Amino acid sequence: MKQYMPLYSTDELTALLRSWQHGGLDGIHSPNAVVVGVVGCDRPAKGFRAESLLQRFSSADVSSVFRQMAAAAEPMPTYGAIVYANVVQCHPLQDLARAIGLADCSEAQSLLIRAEDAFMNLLLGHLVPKQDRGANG
Amino acid sequence: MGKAKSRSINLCISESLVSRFDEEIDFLNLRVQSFHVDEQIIRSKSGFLKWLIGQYAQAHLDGLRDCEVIDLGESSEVIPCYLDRASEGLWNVAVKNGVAPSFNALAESALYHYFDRQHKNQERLQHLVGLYKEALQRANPAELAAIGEGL
Repeated sequence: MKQYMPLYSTDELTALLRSWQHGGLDGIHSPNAVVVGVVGCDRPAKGFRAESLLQRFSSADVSSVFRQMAAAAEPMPTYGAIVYANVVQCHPLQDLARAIGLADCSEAQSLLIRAEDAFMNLLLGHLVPKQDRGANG
Repeated sequence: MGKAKSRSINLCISESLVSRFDEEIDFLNLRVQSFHVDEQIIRSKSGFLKWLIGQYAQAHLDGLRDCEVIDLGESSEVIPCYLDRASEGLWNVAVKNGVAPSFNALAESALYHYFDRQHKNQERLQHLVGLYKEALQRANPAELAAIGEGL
């Protein structure tokens, strides 16, 4: 069966990455933490589709995805570096386009979208095999 | 409030700067879409020129930059610019305060410094992105946050 690929918003991704940067992502994911009241369920296997990215992923998940992306042998900055520079460090797209040597800003926009999607694919793929999360993989 | 009146003026700017400016407009894709800068939306070539001249004039008037008149000594080309009252006021103050001897010189200096700044930004960000990539291999948020502090 094809992997479930939910939609995500750029705002959510931004909140996830900035929380990761500022060390505010864990807590809800610490080993014995129980989510109460947010979605009314303490078992991630059931009824967790509406969770935000912040609730679903830990610092370790985000770090792991960044490490995978950074290790990719590309001549250009990796997708991970592009996402990090724009989303977390807030370097404007036009500045990044110049730094990376792209022809114009629309190219940078497409690159950023591809990079964000690649990040999310890895992040979601990363979640599935985790048995302790009880994901429906 | 009444609508702010604009008038069109022709700025005479050296050819090399005009062609770089046109390249910049293409790079920013400004003929197709607007872009955000400093919480403003830039929608046109004229609006962009007005914004960067305003930035330059304001930085001088605030004492953030030393005056330096650029004389490229080249033949010049005309760029039409739609000037609203607020911008015209700022430009007049800048000229009166010696930021530049004329609107043309003000525009020329503003463009020259804009490109100079972009070039420096580009080098700095190229370096930073390389550092991000390297540090992301360890994915340590504290280490990443410290990058760029000394640059």
